[in-house]
Amino acid sequence: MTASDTALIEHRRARRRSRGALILLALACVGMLLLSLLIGPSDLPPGKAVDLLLGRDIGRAAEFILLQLRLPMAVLGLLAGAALGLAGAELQTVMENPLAEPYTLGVSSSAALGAAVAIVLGVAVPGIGAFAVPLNAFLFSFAALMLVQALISLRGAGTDMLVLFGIGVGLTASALLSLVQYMASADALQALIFWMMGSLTRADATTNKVLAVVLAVALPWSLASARSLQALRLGADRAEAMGVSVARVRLFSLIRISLLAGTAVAFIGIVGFVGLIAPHIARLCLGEEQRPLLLGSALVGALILCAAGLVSGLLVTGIILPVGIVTALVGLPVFFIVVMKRGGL
Amino acid sequence: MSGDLIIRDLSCGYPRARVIEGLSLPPLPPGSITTILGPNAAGKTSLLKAIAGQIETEGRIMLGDEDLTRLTAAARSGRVGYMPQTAIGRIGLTVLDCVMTALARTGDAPLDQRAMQVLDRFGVADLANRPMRVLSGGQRQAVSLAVAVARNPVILLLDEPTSALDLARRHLILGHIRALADEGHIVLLVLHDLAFAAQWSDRIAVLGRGRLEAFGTPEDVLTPEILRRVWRIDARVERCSRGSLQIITDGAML
Repeated sequence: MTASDTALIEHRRARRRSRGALILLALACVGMLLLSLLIGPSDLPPGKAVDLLLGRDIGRAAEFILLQLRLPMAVLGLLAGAALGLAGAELQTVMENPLAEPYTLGVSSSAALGAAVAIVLGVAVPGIGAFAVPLNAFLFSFAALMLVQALISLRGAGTDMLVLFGIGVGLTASALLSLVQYMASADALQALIFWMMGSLTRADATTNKVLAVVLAVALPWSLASARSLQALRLGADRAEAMGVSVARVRLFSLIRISLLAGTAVAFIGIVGFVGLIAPHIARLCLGEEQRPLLLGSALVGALILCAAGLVSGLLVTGIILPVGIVTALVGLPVFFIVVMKRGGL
Repeated sequence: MSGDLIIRDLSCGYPRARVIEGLSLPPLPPGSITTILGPNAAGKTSLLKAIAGQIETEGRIMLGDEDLTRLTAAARSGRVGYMPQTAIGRIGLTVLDCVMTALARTGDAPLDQRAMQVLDRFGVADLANRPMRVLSGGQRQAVSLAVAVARNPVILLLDEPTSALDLARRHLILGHIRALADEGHIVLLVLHDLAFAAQWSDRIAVLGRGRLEAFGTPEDVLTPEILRRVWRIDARVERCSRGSLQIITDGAML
């Protein structure tokens, strides 16, 4: 057997390991969903959830807690986490920057500005009731990314300018947000700050359906672009030489990122770190081949946010903490451990 | 393998700066290595990028009867391989992944098998499963060359392919490039080392400020007069005992 044969066998073994890791991650997500049904902030015994799963009658109160509170929150955690993880992985690739996350391009501050405009100034799409705030958040974050893209198109710039424009747009949105906060009444300010802390408690069937549809569109689209994204990892010049239209790949990727991150932020508010650390953990488990990495980042993001949602309800009895606080407090140490283990980014 | 590469009245550059103005070269035949030499900012990289279709161009770039400027990016990538000046970065993809990326959507045999054949050819098969992140600069440059030639394109544009290599590896890589030319590829190299250019090139094109200053065999082109005019250096050109040209510089006139 030649050295090449041995190398090929090793490569194929690594591929199989990567597929196995993806299956394990998917199973872990299912496990976390079930765990989120079994335990939560109320005193409901875990046996009730088992009874529900077995189709037994558990009473209306228990059924309400499980089906109207715990299940939608857990599902929202999975879906929003998957959206943020996938958006983070794509962004780190197109920006050629391992520190990029959906918020680097001003998504969070623009979404917060959109929410503030709806909550404080009452300016929103009419006739959509409770969806006014999330829709505003999504529209503003989408507009921010499109503005960044338009600036890039005008200037024909590379990734360094992309980061610079993103930071610029984000800082502008932050300044405008401060202005709106300064003008806000005490009640409106409280509502806005609560929204910005990030929470899964706004979950219901509709929010989850909307996010599921966005993921159903973006994930296959993203996986179909995996080869072009992988070519981009070798450098923009090299990707062009392989026949990849780098400008188009970046544009489509930014559209997907704004769809994914914008919708997630719209429903759960500002939740940091998931988009940053999920791709790094996925890279550690799966390597950097883009197709498994994109899928893995979505699964790791789902797992992290669902777990954070569970922890946020258990830390203080009777209170569900904003999930953004949990992801930040837990996310930072995890991120450092990952970075130290890899010996760098 | 194909017709000649023909470059006529080529102008190219960037939105705010025209780098090359009305450049024409004699036909570059298959099986030849043409090295583009010139001082910094002469337009060497821009010429390669223009042929690769990466910057706006005017004029004709033909491969035999085929106008390369009219081809789609995908079709052009099948005929032109481009190795940029900068090697593939310290990324987490393995060496084999990199070559497989270049080979994707081509050929019938299993992708990893074909990628391994390319690595075998360049003597880096032992690195196949190592991430680019852990490789030395020279190893990454060798892999970058393998990625550029993986699709077996007729035209190979190699921008300083040996800049990060030690002396022995330079000879090794240039030997591989010579072998590619002997198979019928049209190789365009950018080099800074005049002695290496003299040793490995069939012909040399000297550029200065976007214009062709000289074209011909190394003996025709590497003369004290041209070196003084284009590079602004005082130099002597001598033959060593084994016949290859040596350029001995006496001083710059900057």
